[in-house]
Amino acid sequence: MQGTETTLDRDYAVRGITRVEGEGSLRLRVRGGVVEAARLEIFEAPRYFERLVVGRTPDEVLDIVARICGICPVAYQMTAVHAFEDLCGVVIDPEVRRLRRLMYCGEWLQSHALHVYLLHAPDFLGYASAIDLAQDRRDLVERGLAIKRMGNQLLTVLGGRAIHPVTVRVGGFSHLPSRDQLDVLRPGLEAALAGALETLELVAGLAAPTFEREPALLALRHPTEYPMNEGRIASTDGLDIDPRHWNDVFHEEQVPWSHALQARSANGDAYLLGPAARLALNAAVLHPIAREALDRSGLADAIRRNPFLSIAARAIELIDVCAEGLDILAAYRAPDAPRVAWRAQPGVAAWSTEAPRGLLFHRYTLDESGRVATAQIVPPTSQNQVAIERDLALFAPSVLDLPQDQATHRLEQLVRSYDPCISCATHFLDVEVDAG
Amino acid sequence: MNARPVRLIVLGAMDRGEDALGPLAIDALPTVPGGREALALVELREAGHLDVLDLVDTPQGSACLIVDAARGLAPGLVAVVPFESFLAPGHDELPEPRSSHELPVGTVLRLAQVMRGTLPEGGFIVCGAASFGLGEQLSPAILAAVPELAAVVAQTVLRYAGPAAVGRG
Repeated sequence: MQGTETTLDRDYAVRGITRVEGEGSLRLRVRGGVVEAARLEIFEAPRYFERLVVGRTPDEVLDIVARICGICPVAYQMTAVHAFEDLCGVVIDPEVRRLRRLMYCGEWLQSHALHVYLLHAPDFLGYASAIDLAQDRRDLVERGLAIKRMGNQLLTVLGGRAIHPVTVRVGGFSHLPSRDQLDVLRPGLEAALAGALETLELVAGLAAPTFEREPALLALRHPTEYPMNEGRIASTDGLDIDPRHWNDVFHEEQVPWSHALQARSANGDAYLLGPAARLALNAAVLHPIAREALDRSGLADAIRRNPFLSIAARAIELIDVCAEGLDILAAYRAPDAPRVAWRAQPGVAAWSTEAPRGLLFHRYTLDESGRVATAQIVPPTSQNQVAIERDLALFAPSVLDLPQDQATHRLEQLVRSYDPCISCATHFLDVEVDAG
Repeated sequence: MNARPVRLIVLGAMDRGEDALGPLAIDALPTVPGGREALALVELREAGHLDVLDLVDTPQGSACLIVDAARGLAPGLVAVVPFESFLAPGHDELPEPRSSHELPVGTVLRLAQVMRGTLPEGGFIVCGAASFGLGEQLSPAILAAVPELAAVVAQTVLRYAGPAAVGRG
């Protein structure tokens, strides 16, 4: 235990935060018991994707932006394809729309199962890593891998491969799966649903650190379905705007400690994206099975206020996408053609969809030849940076009396709660706490 | 006597500079001694990055080889590094396979070891590389190394497939 003087002035530093995607650091400086600086430092090299797509056709852009992330490529493809289709007046077949939702279900399964079981659960269960967890609780890791495997299978069938899918095209898909290929997925998805329900039972019983605040939560909101590809940008403090109009309300800025641009609202406020935000704004349209599970857990309010409970939000979303996936499989009727004809036209193409980590915004301008002249890609992690830093500053006083290693671990656990994807944000994490 | 099954996982992307080493070597496999035989023997998987399930799901009794570009090795230099080496003391000095995004390579290997009871026999076949930017060209040294990488892949596949594989095709 540290003495009084050392609890008033402390520095915490984690260089190379573990169990997050990509490379970044956390640095916290406390003086006189007051947090002077909380920084999430993103030093993974900038990747310049917004420049790389210039001069490309919309279909080429779909293949390029998928490469931004190996974990959420569908999100990048979906956001871009909706933007281009919206600009060019492309009306897709309703069955194609369903398959795109099913594809997004697959990505959420992959990403959430990875995060819940291999990245975040060890913190709650007292293990240093997923390896230690697997040695003691093999059953849990098997369950997580089984759910992830189902996500891989969905993407393989729909996207042509489990990572960096290649079938999404403006107007539809390059090719469609056969009825037989989809039918084969059903037993695995039923088992994944059972596993997701067990996941919620597990995480609902975990002791989360005490930390409550009332952040502005922001996500797409849709009147009739849990938001993935469509909806209006809404927040818990009353925002309600068109998904094309992100730039009207938010802006990006550069800070010296991050290679990722940080996003803020027009008045400079932070806001938080992700599964807790989606639940806060869309619980009413969860699949009935997921809605019942959320009600039974009694966690709806706590998820909104305590970021550590994002693990429960992901579990509920796992249930939702499994249940919806099964509905889609049951109702699917093959369309006449995999895609509709379309013609590129000049103008501004903009859209927002819900990546596993939260709202993803794309904006492109197409020139007279139908090629990209400018591009703006705003991933969820870069939008969440300011909120993460704010939460670190709010949470830090509660760990100042802990030994340095325990305090540092708690701070890392908090950062992992947001499932940051640094590779996306630089298109980020080490933790350093500097208490003086 | 049947050849032992070999899962050959090729990591990388053709459009990301020297990350293309793995896919290029597989394209070149038919042109090197033993390459066609090796191709006929393997269960080939091509991916943008290493998924823990690729190793966890490797069937018991099968070998697994992973072809990837790597940092920490002179550009163009080819090496075969058994999986166990990444779990042994001194692993920090080993070449770092480039294509792991979800989890670090060491974590993927240990998880596979725990979940399967044992690691599959096999390892990484890596080639030193330095530049992985989207749209970048491969350096002459790297391009010149592709046939050697392909040859090492062929030899290693045949070695892990066992005596029954030699002379097939």
